[in-house]
Amino acid sequence: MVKASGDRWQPLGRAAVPYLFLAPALVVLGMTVFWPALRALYLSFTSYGFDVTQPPLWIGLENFQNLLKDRTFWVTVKNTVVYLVGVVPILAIAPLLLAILVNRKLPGIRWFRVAYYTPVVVSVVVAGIAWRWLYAENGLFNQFLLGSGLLEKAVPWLTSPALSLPSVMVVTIWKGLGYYMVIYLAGLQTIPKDLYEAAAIDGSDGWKKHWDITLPLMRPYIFLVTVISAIAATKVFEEVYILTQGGPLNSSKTIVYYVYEQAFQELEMSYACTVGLALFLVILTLSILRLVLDRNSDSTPYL
Amino acid sequence: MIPSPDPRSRRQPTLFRRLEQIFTTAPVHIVVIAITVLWTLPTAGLLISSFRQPDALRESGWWTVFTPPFEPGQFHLGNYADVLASEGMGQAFLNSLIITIPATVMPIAIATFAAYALAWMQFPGRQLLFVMIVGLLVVPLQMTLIPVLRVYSTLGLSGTFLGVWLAHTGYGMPFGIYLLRNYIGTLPRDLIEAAAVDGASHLKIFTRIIVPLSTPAIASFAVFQFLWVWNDLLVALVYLGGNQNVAPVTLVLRNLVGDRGQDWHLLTAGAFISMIIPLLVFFALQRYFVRGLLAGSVKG
Repeated sequence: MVKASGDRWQPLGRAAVPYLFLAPALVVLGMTVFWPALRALYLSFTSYGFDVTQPPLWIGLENFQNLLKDRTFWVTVKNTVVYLVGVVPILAIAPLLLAILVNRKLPGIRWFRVAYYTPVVVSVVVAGIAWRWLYAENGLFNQFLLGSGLLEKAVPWLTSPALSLPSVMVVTIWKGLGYYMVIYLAGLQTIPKDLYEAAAIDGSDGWKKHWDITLPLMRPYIFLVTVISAIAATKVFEEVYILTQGGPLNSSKTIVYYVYEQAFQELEMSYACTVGLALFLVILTLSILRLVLDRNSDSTPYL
Repeated sequence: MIPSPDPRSRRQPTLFRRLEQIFTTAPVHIVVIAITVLWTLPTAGLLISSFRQPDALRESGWWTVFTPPFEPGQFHLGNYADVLASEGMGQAFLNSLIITIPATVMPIAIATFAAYALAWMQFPGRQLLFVMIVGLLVVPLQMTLIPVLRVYSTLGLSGTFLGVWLAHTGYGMPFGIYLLRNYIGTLPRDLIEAAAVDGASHLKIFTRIIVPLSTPAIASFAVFQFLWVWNDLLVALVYLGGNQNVAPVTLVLRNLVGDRGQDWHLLTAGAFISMIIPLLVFFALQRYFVRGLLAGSVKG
């Protein structure tokens, strides 16, 4: 922690200056994050909704009791967990392999970057439009599978309960790969070249050298990517909203989508706050994990 | 290419080695190229579709343009002309800019002031404040939607640009302060103390020393915030609601996806135009993007 030895150059009567510098930030944060979060906590103990002119009515733990009994909620929890388990390992490993593959002079590396960064930069709405073309009943995937004789019938990628969630997961992976690859590429730059040369003398070459050297040295980065992608995956909303609207039969409904649906479609405001609180607890756990990892790694130059 | 004085004696091993290299690296190249093509497919399809005739677009997928006979005449720029001329879309792009620019500039300014105070001023509660602000990174913005919307309704801020600016400013603030505070804290102490000894006020130190020296960190925050706001759907959806006059591109595109059919030609061209600005911002400031990313970007 940097300490300013500024007592000398801060005359009395100027004690208010730091607070003036901080005031705009504190006001905005208080208004949009801090107070609303506390308010949401309070609302989750009340009955408040449809008729917004009525003030919230304190009902104690009723929302929480309902939450525990709410089958749809548990389906969304299950979906979010499936989503996490499906997306996070792939996003932790695949970008690393790709980063190792391209961490050398390759012709056309510029195009390569465009190919992987474009999905990162485009909005989920645009991504959703592009992917619907591939997933549609007469879309590219089905045309290809039918045309090549691999399948007899078109696959309902987005409209069958078994496939809707995996189809959404594919879009998330498509969008995230380039992002995490950048983190890994930056990490690979920190590994000294002599290490590989020394390893080559000891007979460690090819992919073995990556197993012996790259993997251990990249461990902090792998942890970082795992936690960042896990937090992002827990909050998945827009992909679901654009591609499936949570359907069919709740098969792709995630916790955040459920919060949105309860609040703005069912108008069960206070119940939505209760679901949001459950989400908060999950993210809090992941974030604490992340802070602990941050502290133990040198991977974050600004810390 | 061959620096040897006697090319003949050297050529053969070199050729052999080059062939060997090609064969050992070929699988790697093929894998990389295959994945890259796969990754380009969705956006490439969008690009191709955006140049196709509205009728063709409705009848067949974009990949059919590769089946013979190949007619260059089937492509046209009409979709782009239509999008730019159509009232809704043109207005939507304008709205996106009106939303994004202040929603990027405001948090930068506010967060930089706060970061300087937290890094270089001594006052009671400094440490606690910093921890609390960073702690707010954990709050998912979805939790704040309902209470904020309630306040906005009473204040008449829902459906207004001001409401969206404030929300984005607040949501981007914890990450911005975190990133900037950590960067500003590493600036050379001598420089700042020397200026203070010379009688410079905090405001002067801030504008003359801190801001110019913090450009890299400010740029990385700017890239993140810009991309985030430009691509945002949820915040616009909730706080702007059904007000079409203030709807950004993401919202208008989403509504077009909803009513299937008629407007696919507008949708593809519009989607592509909406990609151009983030791509430009990203490739122009790529360096800073990577830095910000490594500083740990988790928000919302």
